[in-house]
Amino acid sequence: MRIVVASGKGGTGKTLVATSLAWYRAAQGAGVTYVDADVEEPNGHLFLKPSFDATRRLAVQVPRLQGQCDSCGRCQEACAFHALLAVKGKILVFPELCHSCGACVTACRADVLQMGPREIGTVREGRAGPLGFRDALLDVGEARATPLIEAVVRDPGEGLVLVDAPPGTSCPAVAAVRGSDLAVLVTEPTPFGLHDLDLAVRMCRALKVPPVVVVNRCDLGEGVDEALAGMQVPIVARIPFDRRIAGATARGEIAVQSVPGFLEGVGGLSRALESFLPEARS
Amino acid sequence: MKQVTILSGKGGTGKTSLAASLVRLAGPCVAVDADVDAANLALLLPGTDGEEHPFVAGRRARIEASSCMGCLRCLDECPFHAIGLSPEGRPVVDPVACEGCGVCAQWCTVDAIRFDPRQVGSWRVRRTASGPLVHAALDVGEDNSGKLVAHVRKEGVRLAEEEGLGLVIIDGPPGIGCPVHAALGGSDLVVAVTEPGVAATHDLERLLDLARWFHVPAALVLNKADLDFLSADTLRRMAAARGVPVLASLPFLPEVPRALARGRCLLDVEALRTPLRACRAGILELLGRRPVGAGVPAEP
Repeated sequence: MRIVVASGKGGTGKTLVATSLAWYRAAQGAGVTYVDADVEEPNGHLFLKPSFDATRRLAVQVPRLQGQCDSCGRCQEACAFHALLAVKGKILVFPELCHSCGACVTACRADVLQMGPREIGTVREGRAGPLGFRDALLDVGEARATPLIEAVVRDPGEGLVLVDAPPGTSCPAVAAVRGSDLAVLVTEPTPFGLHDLDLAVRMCRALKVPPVVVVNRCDLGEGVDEALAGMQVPIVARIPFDRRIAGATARGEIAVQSVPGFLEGVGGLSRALESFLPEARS
Repeated sequence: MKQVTILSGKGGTGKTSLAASLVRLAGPCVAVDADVDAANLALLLPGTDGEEHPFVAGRRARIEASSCMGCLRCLDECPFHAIGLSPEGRPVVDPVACEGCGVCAQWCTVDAIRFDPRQVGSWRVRRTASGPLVHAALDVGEDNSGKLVAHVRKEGVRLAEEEGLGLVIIDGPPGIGCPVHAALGGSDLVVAVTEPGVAATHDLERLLDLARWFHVPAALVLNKADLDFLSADTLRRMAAARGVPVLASLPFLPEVPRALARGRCLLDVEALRTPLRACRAGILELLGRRPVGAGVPAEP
């Protein structure tokens, strides 16, 4: 079972909801693995403070010349991403453009191109108390986050897997949401929040992942109910703005532990999600 | 002409509301919304939109049922697992997963695979009271956001040259990946908007590392600065240690989200006007002080 917490707009409270929910369910005795799929800017570790048992470097495959190139130019012609140039017996690879498809290797007449590893980031695994924990850090300067996101999301975890997705609705968000059983979309009642929520709902539907909504800072704006009725998505929780939550979050505390009353709110969210999980629906 | 890119690393720190305020204070100038997956700048800069231009990048495979023999080699060879089976057992391309690499066509023995150009989004120019705004929308779930960002930036620079405007303000995306590279590379200044807290601080450090990697100088705007004094202080010390100037500190005011909810920007909140003016003055000073960027003509 995999639940993804996503948003469209950044900074709406994905990590707050994902870490709180993971912490709450683990405290209830359920097996939970928290997976931080925001590999460009992962923050879950700052709150859950895991100890890491294993870290590994993740590599993508890029072409390399292993022999004498006869400058036929077929590799360059085959590459849909313009990621290599064949010039006078040499191959210039632009790894940031390469999608690792291997079309160049198949096209090579002299059979001197081979795929080889190029490291793009680090995957870390460990535990935070009763929780399983996994995240990844994209190397600064690397452009393509999706292979790293796919790597952290694809591995199974014990019990419920809670994925904290990157913001947006393009390839990184898609890589985190695809294949989930349920998407919890965190929004805020501003025109930005609602505009981007609409995009996130459409992304979920395109990926056939059912969406539900958490409205964060629900008292700092308006228009949520009208907007959500239009999108036909259920609201599973509303979190009012609370300076104590903002302060606890700023300090890297788990708001569930340190802000009185928030625990009950997260418990309500956890129970509300039950009826949307596949077992309950089937 | 100078380009200023507003970034943050972490989302939701106030990039767009700061960008809109700076555009209004510094105008006439060109505004570019480079957060193409969740484009919001147009919500704060009203005006009249020009024609919508489709943006085509990459391609998508299509299998011609009339020629396909059903050998399913394409399904096995697709590196993106983008080819599935129809209920009738025919190969079908998943339009979201297909990256248009062409590996399927390399293995197809009967040449049954065609490639269609892929429209991934659209862009348009809006005329606002503060000058032109180039804004775009990437279609949901699409790849190539970096290319669309590069394109709207190019259009912004072209408009600035055409209309003799000396400043392009770029509202960037969150993160440090491909669309951020496209918004940042070759810019004259990064204005990093941050807020107190372990998450924003962590993300800001990675963003400042990236700016350094691209050799673009950075300055900081500390938003919601009074939400946690201790971490605001940590941010200021980190900025000082890195030699990054702090242009302004803005307090958290509940009026701000309420103003934004009504489509207003930070400038419409009385208490923020003075720090925002300081921020604008600081940016102009930094731009004046810096040697002129690659290939960009000096201001007269």
